[in-house]
Formats: sequence, C-alpha cells, structure tokens
Amino acid sequence: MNRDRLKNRVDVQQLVDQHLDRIHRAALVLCGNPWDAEDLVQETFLLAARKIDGFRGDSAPYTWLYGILLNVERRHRRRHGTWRRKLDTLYQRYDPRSQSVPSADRAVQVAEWKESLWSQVARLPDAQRQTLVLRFSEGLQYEEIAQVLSVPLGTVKSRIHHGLSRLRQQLQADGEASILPAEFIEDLSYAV
Amino acid sequence: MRSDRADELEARLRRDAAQLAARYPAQTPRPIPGRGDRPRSFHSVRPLVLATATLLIIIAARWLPSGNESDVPAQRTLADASDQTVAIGDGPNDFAEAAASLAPADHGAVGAAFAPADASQWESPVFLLEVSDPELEALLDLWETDRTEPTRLSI
Repeated sequence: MNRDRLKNRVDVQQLVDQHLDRIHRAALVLCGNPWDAEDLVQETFLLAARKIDGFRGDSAPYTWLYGILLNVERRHRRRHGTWRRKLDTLYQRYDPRSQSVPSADRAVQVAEWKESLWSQVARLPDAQRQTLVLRFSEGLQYEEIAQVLSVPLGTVKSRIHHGLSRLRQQLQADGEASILPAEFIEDLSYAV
Repeated sequence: MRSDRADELEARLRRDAAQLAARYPAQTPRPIPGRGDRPRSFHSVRPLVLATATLLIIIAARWLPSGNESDVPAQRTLADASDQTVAIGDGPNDFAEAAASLAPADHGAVGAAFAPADASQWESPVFLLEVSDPELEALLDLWETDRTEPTRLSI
C-alpha cells in the first residue's frame, strides 16, 4: 500500500481498529503487565497519528506500528529503570514496616507473568528480546522483522538463534524439568 | 533431540503469548485524534503561554498597589522619622497614644514606638513596632482627630 493510498483510505481510527489487538499483544508480552501495556498501546497510536504523514508506505502498516511500539517500549523501559533505581535508593532509607501491601489483583497478575516464558525473555538483551517477540508472539516473517528493526536479514536470524540459546541456558540454570520452577526469581523490576 | 527441544521452546513462547493476550484483552483505547485534530504539544503552544504570562505580569504590576503606594503607610525605621515628632511609650498598651502623637512629614506615615521603661533611655533610639491591621486602623483614627497638634507623650 503506497503512501497516497494510505492517506486516502486509512485514517488513524482505521489503523487502530485493524491493528489494536496485535499491537496490544506485543505490548503485553514486552512489558509483562496489562496496565503498562495499555499505556504503550495508547502512546504508540498517538505517535502514529502524529507521524502518519511520514509513513512512506514501503511496508505494511503493522510493521510500521511495531517499529513505533518498540521505540516507545524501549524508552518506557529505560525510564522505568531510572525510577526503579530511585525507588530502590529511597527504599533503603525507608522503614519497611510502612510499606503498602500490593493488591490481590496485582499479585495474581505478577504470578501469571512469572509463570509465563515471556518473563524469561524479558531478561534478555533488548535486541534479542524484541526479535523474539516479533517472531514468536507476533508471528512475523524474518523479512518483516528486518524491516521493523531496520537490520539485515542475517542479523535477525542471528538474534533469534542467540536469543533462544540464551533463553534455554536460563531455563537450564533454573531447572529445566519444570521449565519455570516455583522458586525461580527473575527480574520482575519491569513487571512490578 | 535438540531440534525437538527448540521446537518445544518456540511452541511454548507462542502458547504463552496467546494465553497472556487472552487473559488481558485489549481495551478500547481512548479516542485517537485524527490528522486534522492532533493534540498540540507544549512546544507548539509555548509562545502563547509565555505571551499570556507576560501580559498578566504587566497587568498585575500596573494595577496592583505596591506596599509604598497603598493607603496604609509602610512601617518606617526611626532613621526615616528623624525629622518627625516621635512618640514614646513604654509598652504595647501605649501603642495608640504613642502613634497618635506622631506627625509624619509625608502623608500618613504612622508608627508606634516605645522605649525601654528606663527613663534615662527615653531620648535614645526607640523601637518601632509592628502593629496589626485593626490596631493600625485605630491609630489612624486617633491621628486623624488631632493631626495638627501631635502630642509628645511621656510616661
């Protein structure tokens, strides 16, 4: 679909209607919790609305949206890491007895995330993590992933290979029999 | 064997992604603005904000009275009142009388002063005190009643 056709036929709301579910699923798998996923989706479509004139139509709209989502998520993750470090600093100075108790809903959500294999993927480096999401959650072809990430095809294959290898090593290190043993403690800093 | 394990891992990834998506379906997003209805970023409205703020400051500076321009005279130091008649009292209870005796050089400068109880220090620098609004009103009333002949009070 070229740019003119996109301009003529696809407005922003149509973009949302057509691609909301897949963008939301990718956001959910990337960040691991529904509340952050909603924010990522909203920000992704807002940016798409602002930048739609810059969309060249060289690729499918959903690959363009995935590209925006990954940038938004990377920024979100970096910002969250900064907050997390600040909170950790505050926590060390704070009386732990005055902590608030997490809600039951949130505890359930965190537990579900811990049981998901994607919580293990969240520990991988950004490049591998994003590639695995696009491949195994979103089902994109290698060529489409290369377009989204703006990397050569070989790089995509390499990231998938190394990402899966590293994921397997993590699982082995924590007990492969149950894949995700109960006592496994992963980096939940992004989910909590 | 290794290929089987890889397939199993990939299948597990696909299945877990589907389960997460099913567990937390996408919510209807808030309205997305169209191309002709885009939200204005702060950068785009910043000149307008700055211009409005500047205008408000100018208006405030022009119309709001400053302390020196208000009807209530600013409190002065004794140095300011060196050419004026200075009333001396010995405590807060003498505020009204003391202030009533002041004869300011300009319009309505009114103050209340008292000196230490030691009479030897009456002519020494006295202390100018702050007064509350009701007290000041009362002082002004007293001063207005006999402004031509300020009284120098003594204890």
